Amino acid sequence: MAKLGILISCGPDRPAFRHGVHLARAALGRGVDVYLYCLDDAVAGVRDPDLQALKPRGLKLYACAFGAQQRGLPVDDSAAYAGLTVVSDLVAATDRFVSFN
Amino acid sequence: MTAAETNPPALTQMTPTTPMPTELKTRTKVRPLVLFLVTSDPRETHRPAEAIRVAAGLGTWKKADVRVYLRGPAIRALGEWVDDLVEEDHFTRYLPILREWGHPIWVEAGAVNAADLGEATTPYEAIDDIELSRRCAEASSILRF
Repeated sequence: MAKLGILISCGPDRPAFRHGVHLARAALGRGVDVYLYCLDDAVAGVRDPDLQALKPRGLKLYACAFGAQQRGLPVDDSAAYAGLTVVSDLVAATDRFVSFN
Repeated sequence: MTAAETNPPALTQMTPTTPMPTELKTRTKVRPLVLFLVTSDPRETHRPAEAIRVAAGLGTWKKADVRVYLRGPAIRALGEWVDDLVEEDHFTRYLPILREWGHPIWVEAGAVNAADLGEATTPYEAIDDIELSRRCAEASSILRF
């Protein structure tokens, strides 16, 4: 199965955040294995309903633990809160890695 | 062995114990090239500082080649004086990691801010837009900050 890595670093109020979510949804619909990492301002959008709705469809959702800590956001099961080693794994091991900033 | 024993101190802060995507660990391919394109103003936003932090954290794991390009006001990140920059400690903490990799940071040729750098803290190479476009085409991924 093809693997797609998506990194989003802008906040949920930005069009690029939506573009990233839409790409994830479209890829999941085509049977792609999708890994999405929320970095920087995007950690504020982890609980976005559109994003959360993709988890039952197979989306592997990660978020920057450091970014959440910096912003005083709770680290809970809304995503797998992780460090940059996960981004490194995604860049290296997915077939395509794209970013929305 | 703990993370603190295996990683530089600065990196333990940004790489907490993580749930690794284990299904990805078994896959390998040619090492990708990730280009950080930094154009925002470090006097006004934390984004350039975050870019440097993430570039250092990503490249340290040696699973991708990382390059950084600074354009316009972002060039101030390399300056001798960073006290007036947002999250200035990221520059002093993480730029030395990039410097250890042995290749220069790319900056916009002819940028007006270059004269304001003083004694630049990190080696840099000025490239024009044609060269930038060539290097963007060579990159596997581009992250813009």
